[in-house]
This record gives sequence, C-alpha cells and structure tokens, in this order.
Amino acid sequence: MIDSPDGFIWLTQQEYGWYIAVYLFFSGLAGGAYLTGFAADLFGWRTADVSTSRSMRAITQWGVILAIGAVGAGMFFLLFFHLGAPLRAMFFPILFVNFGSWLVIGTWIIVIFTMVVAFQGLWLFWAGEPTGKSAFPRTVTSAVENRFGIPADTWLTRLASLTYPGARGRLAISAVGSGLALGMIAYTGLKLGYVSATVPLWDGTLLPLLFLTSALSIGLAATIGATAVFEGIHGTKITTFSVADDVIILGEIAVLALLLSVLASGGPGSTAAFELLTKEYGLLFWGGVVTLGLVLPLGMSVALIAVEFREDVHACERLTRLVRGGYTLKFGFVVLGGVALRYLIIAAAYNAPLSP
Amino acid sequence: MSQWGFYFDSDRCIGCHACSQACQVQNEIDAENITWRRVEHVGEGEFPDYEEVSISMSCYHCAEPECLDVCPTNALVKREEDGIVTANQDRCIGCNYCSYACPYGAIQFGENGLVQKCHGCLGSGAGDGHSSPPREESEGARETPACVDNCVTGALKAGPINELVRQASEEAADAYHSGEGGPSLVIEPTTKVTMEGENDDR
Ligand code: SF4
Ligand code: SF4
Repeated sequence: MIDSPDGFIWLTQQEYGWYIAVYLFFSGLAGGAYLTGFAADLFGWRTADVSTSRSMRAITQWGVILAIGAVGAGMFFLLFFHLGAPLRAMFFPILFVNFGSWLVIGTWIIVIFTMVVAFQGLWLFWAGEPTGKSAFPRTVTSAVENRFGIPADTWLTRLASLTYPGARGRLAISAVGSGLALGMIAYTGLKLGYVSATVPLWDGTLLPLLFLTSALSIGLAATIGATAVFEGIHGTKITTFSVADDVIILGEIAVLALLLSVLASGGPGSTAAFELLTKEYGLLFWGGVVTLGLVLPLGMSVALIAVEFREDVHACERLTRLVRGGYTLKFGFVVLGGVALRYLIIAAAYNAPLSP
Repeated sequence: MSQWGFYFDSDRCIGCHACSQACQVQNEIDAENITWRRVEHVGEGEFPDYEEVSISMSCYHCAEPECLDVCPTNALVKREEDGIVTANQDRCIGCNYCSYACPYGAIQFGENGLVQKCHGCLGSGAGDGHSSPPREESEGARETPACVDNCVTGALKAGPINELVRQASEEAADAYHSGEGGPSLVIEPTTKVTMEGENDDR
C-alpha cells in the first residue's frame, strides 16, 4: 500500500471542525458590529440634528446587541462543541499561564471586551432613553417588572445611573472597547497565522488581513442590515455605511487575490491548499465566498446607488420598500459570504507534507 | 540535560509496521486513527523507474518544540531530565492548537478530547510518563521504547542523542547538527529517493 505516491508524506492530522469556523465567524462579527456601532456613536455625538442623532443611537444599540449576542454564540460553540475539557477552560485565569500563546492573549481580549460591551449595553439601555426597536432589552425588563413584580428594570436603572460615566466618559470607554474589538478580530487571524509554517493556507500576514477586512465587512453588514430591517432606512446614513462596506470589500478582494497567488506559487502544501480551495471546494469558494460574499454585494450596491441618484427614494413608498429590501439582501449576502470564508479556511487547512 | 532522541535509517526499514504495532500494544491504543508512531510508504517515479521508501515517524521531542509554544496551559512539557516532551492531561483543555503547530503530525486526541502523544515509553498509555522519574530510576519506564525493541532490522534506534550521533554516518550527524532547535532525530539520508526525482545511485 502506498500512502504517498507523489514522494511526499502527507500528515493525517486535522482536528478543527466546523464549530471552530463558527466561533471565528462570530468573534469577527462581534468585533465588526461593535466598531460599526462606535462609528455611529461618533456620528451621533457630532451631529446637531435630533433625528440623525436618534438613528445613530439606534445603530449603536444594534452594534452592542449584536456584539454581545455574537460573543455569546461564539463562546457556546467553542466551549461545548470544540474543547475537550470545557469546564477546565472556565478556570482560565489560573490555568492559562503561557502568555506567549495567542490563545491566552485572545481569551483575555475577549473577556475584557465582553465586560466593556456589557457596560455599554447597560448605559445605552438603562441610563437615559433607548430608542427604536433595538430598545427591546429595556422593554423586556420593564415587562418583567410589571408582569411578575421582579424589579429588574429598577435595579438595572439604578446600577446604570450609579456607574454612568457621563456622555463623554461613555464615549471614551467605547473607544477603548473599539480597540479591544480590533484586537479580538486580529487575534482570530493571528492565532491561525502563527502556525503558518505548518499550515501554509494560514499565511502569517495575509490571513490576519483577510480576517480583518472580512470581520469589519460582516460586522458592518449585520449591524446596518439589522437597522434597515427594524428601523428603516430613513436618516440612518445607510448609503454612507454601505459604501464604506464596499470599500472594505474591495480591500478584502485584493487580500484574497494576493493570498491565492501566494498559495498557487508556493510549495507542495500551498499548492495543495490552492487546489482544495478552488477545485475541491470550488463551488463554495467561487459561489459562496467570491460571488455571494463579494461580487454580488458590490453589484447590488452600484444598482442601489444608481436608483437613489435618479429617484427620490423617500417620496414613493414602494421605492422605499424596494431599496430597503435591496440593502437588507446585500448585507445578508455579505454575512453569508463571511460564514463560507471561515468554513473554508478551516476545512482546507492541511499541514504541509514532509519529504523523506 | 542530555537530550534523548530517535535514530532512523530508511535504507534498512522494510516497512513491516512492527514498530507502530508495538506502540499501539504498549500504549493500549485501540483507535485506528490514533498513531503515536506510524509508517509511511513513499513512492516516486513511474514504473519501471519506481522506487519506494518506508519512513517510520513519531514525535521527535524537538529541542525547541512548536507544540509547547502555543499551548495556553503549559500542558505540554519538555522534561529537564531527558528533553522528552510529555503531555499532562490534567492541564489540557483540548483546544487542538498544538496539533496544528507540530510540523510532524505527532499530536493526537483520544475519545476524552485531550492531548496524547509519544512519551518515549516513559510509561504506558495516554497521559502516562508525565513527571515520571528519569528512565533508569523509573519502574514504569521501558529501558528502550517498544517500537525500537520490535524493529526487526535495526532501522529504528533510541537513546541519548549524542550516542546516536556517534553511531551515525557523517552525513546524518551533520544534518542533525545543522537543524538546531529542530527534531531530536538522527536520520540517515535515503539513497533510494531524492526529492528532485532523480536517482543518484543508478
Ligand atoms: S515532534 Fe511535534 S509533538 Fe513532538 S516535540 Fe516536536 S512539535 Fe512537539
Ligand atoms: S490541546 Fe491541550 S496540550 Fe494541546 S495546546 Fe490545547 S491545551 Fe495545550
């Protein structure tokens, strides 16, 4: 029996499953969503216009909700599907002693990020007046309080007002949170990129860049998409955000093209990864990552901008609905492309072969 | 510390799998996909210019192990006494990161999802051998690993790396010394296959 007819020893090891891809996806989405919310927070801070400031507040709220939800979902998959000893991992403050490991660095980034986001959520929803449909956490606590007599809303409001650092202070802390969001996104790529000597697909420079662009893009898409669905497109700067997403997508295309060319011209492990991506997983790669996640959203963006340029979208209700649906679909595609990308980055990761 | 390691000569290896099977027995490994030691048959060229070489591989207890570098909990330990890299299953969280860092596919995971790998027969079974005393003083350790004891041709040897280097050809010794920080493996150059696809012994 010949295991390696081509003169190389291919290693059988492959341990990461789809749930690690899901975890990477959610971590990236959380970071990107928070950053989008922070951008809206800044817009809202600087504008004098009341209605714009309310819309921006709604985006910030969605960013925080998505960030919390995505971190939670990512942790769920990491702990209960992936790890061999999830309960032991809960003791990370004492057990994680190797601070040179990206896993340890990343864990602390995620933990501190989650705390900042939790406080932002507390202040946004329970100090002052939350706005729009994204105010639902507040609605839920008041309902609980009224219906069951559990003073959830009172307590949270009290906690919020006790800790509230003022508008300026909240924004400053949110800037720190944004730094952590960037760190979390970077960590997902750097963790894999660190072992690029063994796994050629995980290029030490290009993979972190790919994950960075993709995370920003899917986080923005999810946040602005949620805003379009639940709050509408009036006064939400949807075109500005969408164009920002397009620019990020163009960057992502450039990084992806570079990665492909590096793989195609590399050693046997790299070319094998290239073949896997573009041929064996070709349908998911060309169809999911490239077409659905990158090309189609760009095309739709051009079409939507053309419509907005020619017509007064808000004058006609049918047109408003059409544009709103178009943007929602575009952002949905971006997010799906991000899922496909993470799946492939794990599925096509093989150790470079050895030569005798 | 005197580093302990392996020696391998593919020209002598007949690809019989006695080593890998001895490993499975010694360490009570039932699962087929868990292979602390495995034998690969590598072929090159096309008939009639076809040559085949067998390689027996395992963890090489690297001088500067990549696996150990990435582990969050220091569950992988390079022993002071002999440089053997052991796995402490009581600290492992089963994150699999180490298995991607190791260039030789030496890290394995059993049903409990925790790390297991070759411990040079310092003990027997997954997670054993960790924090065991030096080989000479230990009751559980074998004098030589089961794989080496069962090799029928002397293609596979183990011991203090200095001794292995002394017994090896000059070429193999040079190759070992040039790979500083790398695997604790002295490997004779194979004469059957060269990577350019030319056979230089014909
Ligand atoms: S061969 Fe792999 S598992 Fe063994 S010490 Fe080296 S890096 Fe670690
Ligand atoms: S699987 Fe265990 S031994 Fe390997 S890196 Fe994770 S915690 Fe460390």
